[in-house]
Amino acid sequence: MIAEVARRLRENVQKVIVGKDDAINLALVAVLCEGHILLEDVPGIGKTTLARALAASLGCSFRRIQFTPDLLPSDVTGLSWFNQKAQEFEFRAGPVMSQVVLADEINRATPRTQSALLEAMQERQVTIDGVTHPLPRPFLVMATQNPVELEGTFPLPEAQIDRFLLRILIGYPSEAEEGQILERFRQADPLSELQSVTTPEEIQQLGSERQEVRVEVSLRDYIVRVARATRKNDEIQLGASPRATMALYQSSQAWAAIQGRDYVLPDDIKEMAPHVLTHRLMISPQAQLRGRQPSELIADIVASVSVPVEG
Amino acid sequence: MSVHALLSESEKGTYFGLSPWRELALLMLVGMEISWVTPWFRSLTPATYAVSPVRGALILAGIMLVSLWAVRLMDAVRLRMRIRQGITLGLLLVGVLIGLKTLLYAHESVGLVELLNRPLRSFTDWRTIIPDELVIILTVLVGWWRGISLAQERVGPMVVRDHFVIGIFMYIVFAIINTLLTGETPGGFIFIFIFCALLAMASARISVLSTLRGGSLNVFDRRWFLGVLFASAITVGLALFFGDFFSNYLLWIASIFIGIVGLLAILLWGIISPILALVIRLMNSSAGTPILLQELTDQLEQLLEMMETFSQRMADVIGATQAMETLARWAPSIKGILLGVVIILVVGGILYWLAFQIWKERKRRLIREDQQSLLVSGAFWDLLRAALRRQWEELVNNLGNAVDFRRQARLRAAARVRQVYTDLMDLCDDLGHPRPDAQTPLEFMPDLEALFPEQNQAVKEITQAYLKVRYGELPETRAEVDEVESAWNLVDIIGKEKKAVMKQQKNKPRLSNIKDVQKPRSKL
Amino acid sequence: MRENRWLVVLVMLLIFGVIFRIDLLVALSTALFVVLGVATWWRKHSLDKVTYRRKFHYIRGFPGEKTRLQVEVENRKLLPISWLRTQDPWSRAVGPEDDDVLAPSHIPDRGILTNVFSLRWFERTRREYKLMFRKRGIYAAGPVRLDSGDLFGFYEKTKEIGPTEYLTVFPELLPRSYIELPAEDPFGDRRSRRRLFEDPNRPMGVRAYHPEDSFRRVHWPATARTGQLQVKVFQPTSGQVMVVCMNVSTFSRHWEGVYPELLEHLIRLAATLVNQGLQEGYKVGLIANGCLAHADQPFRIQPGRSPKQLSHLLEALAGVTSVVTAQFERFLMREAPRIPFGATMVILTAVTSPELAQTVIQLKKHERRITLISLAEEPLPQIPGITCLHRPFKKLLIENSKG
Repeated sequence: MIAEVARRLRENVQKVIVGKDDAINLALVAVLCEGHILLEDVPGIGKTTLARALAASLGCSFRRIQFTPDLLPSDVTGLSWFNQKAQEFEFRAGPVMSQVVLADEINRATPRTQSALLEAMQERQVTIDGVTHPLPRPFLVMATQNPVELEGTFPLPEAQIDRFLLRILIGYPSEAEEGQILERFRQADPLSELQSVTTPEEIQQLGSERQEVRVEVSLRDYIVRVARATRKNDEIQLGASPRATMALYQSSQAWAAIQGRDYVLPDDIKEMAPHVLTHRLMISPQAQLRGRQPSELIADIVASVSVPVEG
Repeated sequence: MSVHALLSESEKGTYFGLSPWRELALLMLVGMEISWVTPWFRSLTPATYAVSPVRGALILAGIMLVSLWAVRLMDAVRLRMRIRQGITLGLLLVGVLIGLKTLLYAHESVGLVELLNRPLRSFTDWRTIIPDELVIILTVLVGWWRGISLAQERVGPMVVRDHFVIGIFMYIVFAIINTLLTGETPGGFIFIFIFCALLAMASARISVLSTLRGGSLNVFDRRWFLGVLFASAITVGLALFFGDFFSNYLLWIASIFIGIVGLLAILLWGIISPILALVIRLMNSSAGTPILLQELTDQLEQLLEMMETFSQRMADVIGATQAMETLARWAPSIKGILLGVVIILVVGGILYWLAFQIWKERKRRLIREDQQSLLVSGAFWDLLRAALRRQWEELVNNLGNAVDFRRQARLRAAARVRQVYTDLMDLCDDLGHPRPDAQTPLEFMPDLEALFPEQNQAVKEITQAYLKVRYGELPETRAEVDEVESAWNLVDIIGKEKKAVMKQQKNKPRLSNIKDVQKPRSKL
Repeated sequence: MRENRWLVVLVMLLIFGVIFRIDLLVALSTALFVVLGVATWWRKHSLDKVTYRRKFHYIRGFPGEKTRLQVEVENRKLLPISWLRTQDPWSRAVGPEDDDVLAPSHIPDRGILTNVFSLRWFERTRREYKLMFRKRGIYAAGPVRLDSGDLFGFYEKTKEIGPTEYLTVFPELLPRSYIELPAEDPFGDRRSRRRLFEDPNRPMGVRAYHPEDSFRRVHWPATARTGQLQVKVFQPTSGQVMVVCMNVSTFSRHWEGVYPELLEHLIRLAATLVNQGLQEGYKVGLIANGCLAHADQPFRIQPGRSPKQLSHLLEALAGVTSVVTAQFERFLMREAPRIPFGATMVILTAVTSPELAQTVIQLKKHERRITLISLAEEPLPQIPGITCLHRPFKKLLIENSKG
């Protein structure tokens, strides 16, 4: 069932996004795990388009928040304002009260504003003036970041980055794909014509099904060993947290389900590890000075941890 | 070099100090030489022509090989010069006698004494200028000399290429002299020559690779030999096919060739003749034409007539005249047929396009309807119904399986499949290709396929079945386990053969050159 | 074998055979056409879809450090390659630990990393090497040259594929005790690392109004949205900025040449200074009147404190050459306006002159904070208001030879 729905979603999104099967599959993983996505990429690569297409395909509501230095927390969560006519306070929901939220350039906002969004991501509710407003389900945040070398940015602290389930790199399209993009967007905007292929209720049900995907005991140990190996590595200053271990576990289940299996293979864990762990690591200054990249470190770690196989 | 050194593997990839690829190249060089020498030998005299090609080739090959190996052996054991000369002369004499016996007196019963006397008698007979015995002796000497030369040559790609070029040249000369004059052909030797040449060139190239910088880590195994053999055979097969085809249909080819030339001439004539005619008319029409010009005009007219006659004859030869007449008869009908075909194509194209548009629209509508039905309120109940149906089917299935294959039996079957995979991993380890600890079974599969190329399907089956029982579900039926068992039996047989071969070899070739630390395997 | 020459010969043979009806010639030339055709086709496609990748463990390091290199070659097609030779140009300064691995090259200090492979269809193979960083610099590896040919060895094909990759060897750092700077500036005991000023050009947020806030700072749109007075918050700017100004001249007159050991020591000292500065929490920048390889202009790196600033600075120092682009005094006066106000200029020079003293005094007049470190033999005259440190290079050489 999950594989079938995933296939429909993928085909639907691909009416707008050319190629990029991996990015779409990873987004589906996040949807199934109800996790959040960190998109780090150069401008103009299709991050917003992907978010919109995904929201349209899921039949979910979509809002975009452009983060700026003067954005207030209430601009994100909403606020109570006094209606002079009715002589009472009214709650005006903020853009975070949508099912799919695109948080653009999240590192341009102040830490206070970032926290407002990140708390909502974690708890899936917002509390304003003592009143708790639950967020709609499913709830997915796709956040984008500016390169941190620019002035005027507030890099997300590691504790906050850890809340993102996956980091997705979309990458430039190939030559053929770029030609197809021009062709596709030549006359009409396929995004405006995109129809949904599933419903939020179905997605929630698939999320429950995802939890039933079998993870054999030795594979659970394997996941733990991979996560712990990141903490023992000399070139890593801050390794993967238990939250990261959980994320790897869930995303492997989702990946296996998308492939049409009801059990996880070690290959699923290896496939997910770079996307789940890379953004959570803090590499040591010495390793950074010598040009090591987090993705390389993850690849080395995964290649050094023994897989639970007979023989 | 001591005998011990000779018998030990002093170089990587060599056996008893010999490199297989270099030896193969050498052997093929001998084959190349014999392939063109034999036809030449047979064409020398009637007596040599009486020798069958196979016999001639074998004897000459034998002489070359004996001289080649004799020299190499003497080099290897480092005999003194005097002893070498003595042995060489002795072997040469024996070779001459064998050559005479097998090539000249094959159908006669000749003793040793007679064998020695006959050549002497022939030499002293003033009626025969070049006795057959002399030809045989010279041939044996040449063969001996070639063997010695090959033994002293460093076989490499350039050397083989030079021999190839020499062989081709000798065939061309053979064709011109012998075939043109006497009608003799070398038969299939030419293709044997090409086959040996290809194999020799490939082997020579491979043999020098390990001596290049960075080439010592490169390992060639048996599969490269099979590949080179296969590629050479295919190429020669194609060459044989096309060569045979074109030589059989030589007459046709000649006709076509002449026809093409004739057609070009006609076309040329068609372009030149009006211009010439105009020139002649202009010359004739101008009054008071000088005599010289008049003569030129006459000659041009004659040339025109000659060209006309020639083109007419050409057209008759290639059948163009007949073709033109046939075409002229059928022209009106052809026009009609062509028009009909064009109309059909256009109409067909339009219909096809219409049908495609209708199909596309229908498909779009179907999808929309499908989506709409999901979005309408019935979606929830449909999902619920689907879920319930699924559960019921699963229950029925499980009951069925319980009858078919009880849980205990399934557990035993799963254990068996896991055992098979463990045995497969042990086998890989024994063959020097253990699975790295950090590699999953799917990642290790390409290495398995390379290790057991004949049983790719079997290793795939075993791996897939293992993955299923190890991480997923228990086997459903006995048949699944039986498939795995039979796949394992096939792989096991091959594995045992390889292990036996490995025991005889000291070097264990590696598939990849990655230096990874081999940690002790842990059984989970 | 030249393809065209053989083609002409075969065509002539074929025509000859056809005209004179010689079966053997026709068969021979046709057969050779087929063989050479197959060989030509094989050669043409031999290097298609062949990839060559270098994977480094570290791409930057200090002299004496080692790193792993993995060379991976893959044949991504059905056609096997019986022989493939790769020749990768490599600098000996970052070559394998074992010098003999590199084949000699006609270019001094460079060798060629040569490998020979035989690859079946869709086969990949890897080889590992241990590289050693020997000398400061930025070194290019590649592009690699691939040689292959058909299976039978008739023809060969060569192709060069990129990209060129770079390995950087930073200058060696000197021990902290070498500099022994006084306690005042710039790495002294003063502990107020974050002397904050607010940059009015860079608002970074809003907060609730306090009575002491100026009305000029009120953020009216935010106030309208929230219904409460909100004021702008500006980005703090640290006042601790240090710019290292390096003079790459080793002689007072440029025609006297270059003193390589002195230049290396100068660069090492600059590297030590920038490293220490960043560790102390300064924003560190670098300017020099030398240029980087393949350039002819002096370079400058703006002060910064990001995690990548140290690698930027050390990379620039790794690439500095001995080419002097401008007289140091003039260069300083030209660059001074670009240096942030309040920054400490640490002038590093191996050559002192009255002109330099004049320049320093002039800069001081423009309220620049200056520390001057000299490696020249003669001690510097005392300039009021300027911290001068004298660390003669020759004395160091003598000490090292004794030690």
